[in-house]
Amino acid sequence: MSNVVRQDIMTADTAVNLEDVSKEFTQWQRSGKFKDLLRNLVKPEKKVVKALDHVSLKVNQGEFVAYAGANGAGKSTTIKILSGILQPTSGAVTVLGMSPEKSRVELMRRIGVVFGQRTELWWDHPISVSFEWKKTVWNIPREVYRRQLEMVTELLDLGDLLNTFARELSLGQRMRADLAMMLLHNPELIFLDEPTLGLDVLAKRQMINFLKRINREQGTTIIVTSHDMDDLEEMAQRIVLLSRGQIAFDGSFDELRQLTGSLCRIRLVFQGAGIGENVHGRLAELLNGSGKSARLLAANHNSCEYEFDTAEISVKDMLGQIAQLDGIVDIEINKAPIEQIVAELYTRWRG
Amino acid sequence: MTGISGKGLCFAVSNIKRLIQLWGISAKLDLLWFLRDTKYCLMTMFADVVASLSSFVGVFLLAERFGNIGGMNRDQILFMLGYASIVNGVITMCFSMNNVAWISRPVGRGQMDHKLIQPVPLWMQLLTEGFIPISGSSFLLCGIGITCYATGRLGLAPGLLWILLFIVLIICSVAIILGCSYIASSLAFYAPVAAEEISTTVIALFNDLMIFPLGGLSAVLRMALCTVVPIGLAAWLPANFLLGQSGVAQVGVVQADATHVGAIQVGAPQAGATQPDLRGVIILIMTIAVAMLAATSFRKGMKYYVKRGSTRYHDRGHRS
Repeated sequence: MSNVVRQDIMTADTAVNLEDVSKEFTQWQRSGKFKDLLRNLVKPEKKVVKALDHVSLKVNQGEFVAYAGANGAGKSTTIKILSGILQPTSGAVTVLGMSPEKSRVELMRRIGVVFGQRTELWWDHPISVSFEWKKTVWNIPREVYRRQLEMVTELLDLGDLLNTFARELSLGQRMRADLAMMLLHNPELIFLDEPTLGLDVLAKRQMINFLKRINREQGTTIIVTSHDMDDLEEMAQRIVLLSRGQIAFDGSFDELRQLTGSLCRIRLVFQGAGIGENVHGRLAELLNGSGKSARLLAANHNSCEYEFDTAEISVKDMLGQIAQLDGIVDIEINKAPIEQIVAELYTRWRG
Repeated sequence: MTGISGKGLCFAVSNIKRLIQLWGISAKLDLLWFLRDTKYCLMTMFADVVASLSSFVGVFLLAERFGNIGGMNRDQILFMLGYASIVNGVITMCFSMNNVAWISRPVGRGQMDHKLIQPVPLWMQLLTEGFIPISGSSFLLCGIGITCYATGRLGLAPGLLWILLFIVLIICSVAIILGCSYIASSLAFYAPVAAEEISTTVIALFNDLMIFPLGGLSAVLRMALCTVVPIGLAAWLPANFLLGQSGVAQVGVVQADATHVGAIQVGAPQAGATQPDLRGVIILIMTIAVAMLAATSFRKGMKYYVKRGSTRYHDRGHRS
């Protein structure tokens, strides 16, 4: 559990502050066997599951934070605690200077929540009607509503959808409409739980661009959970990784990459068939000669891809070795995908 | 002291304003449905009228055949059936959208999360979001029609006070049915799968039994049906109280014998009564007791819900 940021002092620009927050759930264990019938009735077996285990986290206003973790790590539990839907077992929670438990009504006027697999839209009404409903229920001033409606309609390309029934929208359109509705009261802080789940590439791109824009231009604080690490890396400046209810990492994506070594990928394209084996053998020879190594990830008739640790061999040295090979027509260097790094970390933490 | 009461007044006024706003938007949603899908909306309303009439036609035919059931004559029974229809109508019109009356459904389906993220106190949401004044009006209109007809046939001359009493009793009956639904629905917080439809069972129990005159039952049974399982308070006792009917005095009050009601000075104790008519007090006390029990059990359930969270989620019936 390295690199955990802990800040205990809450300042005026703190949007979210979790102090030593734990959340435990009780699960009834039922065997379904006849011999356990009496025990199931009288004293059923209980199992206590720690969804959050002494989590401390501070998010400043204007930050865009990715909140990630494997299934059951406690992401949704945290979002529910922050939005007042759940209460923690212990610890203190402050959101925009308020306790979600004690000031729920007031807090809800200032934050927005979207759960990816749930909708706040009225199913049998056009989305414009849902928006009007929101305006009344949230008591949004006319001017704010007009301005926000214009903005979300334009940025989320909702013009043609406003008079469409929510039940007739595709998943991507519905998510856009849900996101737009959430923003109508101009929240200072938004929580998004798996907002890109099930979206196609285009819908995902639209959503990511939109979120980045409102974070940048309006200074809206955003906390987003997702399993899609590439999406998160594109959106957020900071990533908080949860593992078994604890914060296992809190920092930038670059810092996260350092955890598994500074892995880099290089893809070589050859001219003509049959060169690949030759190149591979020669490169291994060269690297071995200098006491270095690179892992072959994939190879086909005209290209191969290697992964190497830049802490062990610099990109410059690697390129120097490759320059000695014949038949190479193209070279492509990339950072190792964040998905791979996180998967490696999950495996490591699980073990 | 003045400051405190002034603050309290301001709070009350702002709450009333909010309630009106929220009822307004619910009414607007309903109106929009009527304007957009007029044909389907009218079909729904017509089906409701048929359902309303068919639900009590059996009891009315029995009264027609035998002239008198449980100490009530045909017209008195018709009045009670009209009262029952109004009670059902108010529940349909004010609490049926979003399963507000059938609250075990949103609880059991984990949909209370949607309510918790609204910047509106929960009581206010429950009071307003079920309001469908157009599509849900047929039961109520039907009930008002039947009650007016029965009132005319009984030769009653309702004054303003009687009408006010009628409204108060309707509110009490509605509160008792909803209260019982909420008491039972509180179980859905602890057993969401098993108790998801428990409110349906409770409301169906009232709908099925509230139309029967209970006067022919034993005193113990009547007492039980007005206290333990307060079905008698949904229509029979309030209707009898309104009619000044004395055949039901055994619920807790002993009154002079009277087997029929003709032209009655409504709302006042019947001439010849030897003891005061406490039926109104019983209804009021029971309403308060049921409402308090419902509020307590539901609040306790909500505390459990936010502590434990819901282990399941279904969007069925949510905002549709």
